[in-house]
Amino acid sequence: MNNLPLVIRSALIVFIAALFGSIVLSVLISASGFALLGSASLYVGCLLFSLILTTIVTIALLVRCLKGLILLVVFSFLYIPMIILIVYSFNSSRLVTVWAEFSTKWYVELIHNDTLLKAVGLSLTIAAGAASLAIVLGTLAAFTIIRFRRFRGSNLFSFMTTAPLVMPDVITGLALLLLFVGMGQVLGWPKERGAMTIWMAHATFCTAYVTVVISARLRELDKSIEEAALDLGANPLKVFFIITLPMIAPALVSGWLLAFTLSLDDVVIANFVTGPGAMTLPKLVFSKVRLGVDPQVNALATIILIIVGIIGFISWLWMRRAEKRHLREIRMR
Amino acid sequence: MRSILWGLLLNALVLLGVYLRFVTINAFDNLFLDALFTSMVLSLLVSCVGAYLAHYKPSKFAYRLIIAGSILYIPAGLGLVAIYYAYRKMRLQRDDSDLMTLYGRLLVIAIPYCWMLLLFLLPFLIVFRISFSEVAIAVPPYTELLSYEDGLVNIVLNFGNYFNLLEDTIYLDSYLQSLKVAAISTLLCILIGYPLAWAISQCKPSTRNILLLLIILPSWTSFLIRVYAWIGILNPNGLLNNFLMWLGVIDQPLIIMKTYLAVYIGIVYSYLPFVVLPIYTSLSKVDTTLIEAALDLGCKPIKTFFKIIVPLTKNGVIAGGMLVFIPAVGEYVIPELLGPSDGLMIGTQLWTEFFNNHDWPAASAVATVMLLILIVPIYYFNKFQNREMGGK
Repeated sequence: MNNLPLVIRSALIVFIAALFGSIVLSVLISASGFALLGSASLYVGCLLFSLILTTIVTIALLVRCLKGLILLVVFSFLYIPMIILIVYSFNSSRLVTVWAEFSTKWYVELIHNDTLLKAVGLSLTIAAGAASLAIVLGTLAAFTIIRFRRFRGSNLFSFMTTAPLVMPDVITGLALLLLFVGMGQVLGWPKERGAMTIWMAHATFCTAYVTVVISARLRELDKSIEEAALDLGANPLKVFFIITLPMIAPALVSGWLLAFTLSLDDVVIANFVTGPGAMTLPKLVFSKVRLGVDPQVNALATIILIIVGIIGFISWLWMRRAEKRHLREIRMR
Repeated sequence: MRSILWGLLLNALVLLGVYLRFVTINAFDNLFLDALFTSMVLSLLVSCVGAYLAHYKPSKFAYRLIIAGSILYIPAGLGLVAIYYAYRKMRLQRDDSDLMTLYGRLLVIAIPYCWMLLLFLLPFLIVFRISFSEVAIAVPPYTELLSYEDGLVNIVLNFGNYFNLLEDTIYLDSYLQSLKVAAISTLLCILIGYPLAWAISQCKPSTRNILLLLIILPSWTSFLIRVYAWIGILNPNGLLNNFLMWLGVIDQPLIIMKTYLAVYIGIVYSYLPFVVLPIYTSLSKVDTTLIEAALDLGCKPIKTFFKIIVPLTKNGVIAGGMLVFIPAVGEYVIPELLGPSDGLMIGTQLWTEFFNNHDWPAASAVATVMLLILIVPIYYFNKFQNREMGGK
């Protein structure tokens, strides 16, 4: 075994792993379960799949472009669905799968759709409000976690700021709804569930994400500058606003954007904590999508993708500039 | 300090007495008495805050709060107890210096703490409580656990919701199906995400940033739209089937839409970025000299991978896996849009109980059990997250 060339050995390993892996996975995934083990087509299919995979990987290894291959495959998996979405938003046919001819009529319809425009407005307002509140709470929480570290109840606090990251939406939504109903009974507020309750709910789960972003930045900060200012007699509040805040400003911006997109994206929690009255954009899109494919949604998706793409491009430029400046500073020294 | 607390306890007893009296004579219909009661509650809260501050770091301000909160209780006579002791303590205090430096730290902790306590932890206790009530035709549609009648406090606990979860096999099957789907999707995400993270970490730093941005970019767009994109592709007359039939690989359209396979694709597609980032972070921290040393000493590449790289990136893999597994167990949108219409996923079951059957207690019971299943993974996620946050 040891005498075999490296390529053949790795090809053998890939083949065996792919064969076993694909058989196990198809049994687990398919609806028929273990009954599948009896059918010959499973083995033929898996054998073919592993042979093809092994050939591709071996060739990639020989040409030394395995890295490029992986990147190509995964990025096409990530981006092809979106490209298809964009292409078919310019399709004049109502059937999304049949290409008729180029047209922008879905965009025109989109602009004249009043319910949709109102929903966009409501969603943007809620998202901006929730992101702003989450930034304030998240900064305080991150400061607490990084600077104070241990205090009574700090374990519970760290649990409360990380658990919302993974908590399933249905549980959070149900829990918050019951809280709002209970508050309505005991305090008489909030009387009706609408934009206000969505705002509070979104701010709560966004706070957790913002906390992660800001505390990552806060941890890297040089504490000595703050300590110097404190030693020179500035009061802590002033130190925070004049020194700490400008230093974490980039994290504040990215945290705000993250919270904004998260709030703009949420459908499950919004559905729980409101009645049919407050129609946010995701709720509207969800009710449309449930009925099947709709070219207007494609048009909307394209607009969202373009906006996000522009923001991504800007942040890339920003990152590159910061990096260049960083390199120049290193060279200057 | 203890005597002040006794004084506050007396105030609280007065409040309870007033409440019971007001309930029996229906005084809450009277606007004045209602306002009086509310201000009594608020002032008790003020003096409790004062007592907590005095316990944390004594100051004149804290004792003044206690006194101010007890003024309303003077007519009952008992309010004087707290005021007397607080005043005696306050006389002994030196004048307050800067309140900001005294209580600033406490305030910084208290604001997010109280918010999360009220809007994150308290709701779960309410869910737990309501899972023990019964459905009722009322607003809100459930019965109260506590009732006060003829001087008796009755507690009615209804375990029926939980027995129902055990008896009706639909729920058990849904929990198992959800766990299975979540586990397999997590595995698939790691199988795809690990090589990707490795490939990115092998690139030049400038390319690396672009690639990472490209990984994150899809998660900035709407989650719904990303799931929606797959509907058009996977439909029986969708693009994938059209393409394969055009190639001549198949002559019958594949049924992928409305099966669990589509759910797997949807979950892997939506959650992939969350796995790649933590794995990438831990891969980029791996000291390359260790790998070189192992290879130089004659360790085979595969053994090096399993003996050195895997243990060093274990934390990233676990954190990424949890970020997929836990939300995927309760996933609702993906199974609803891509999964079978008679699908058994626990998120969908909860949704149906709540929105279609209007059975809030049953939905709460489903949520409580789901939370109990997930509490161990969440605990571990919290631990790993803290370890990462601690920078060790």
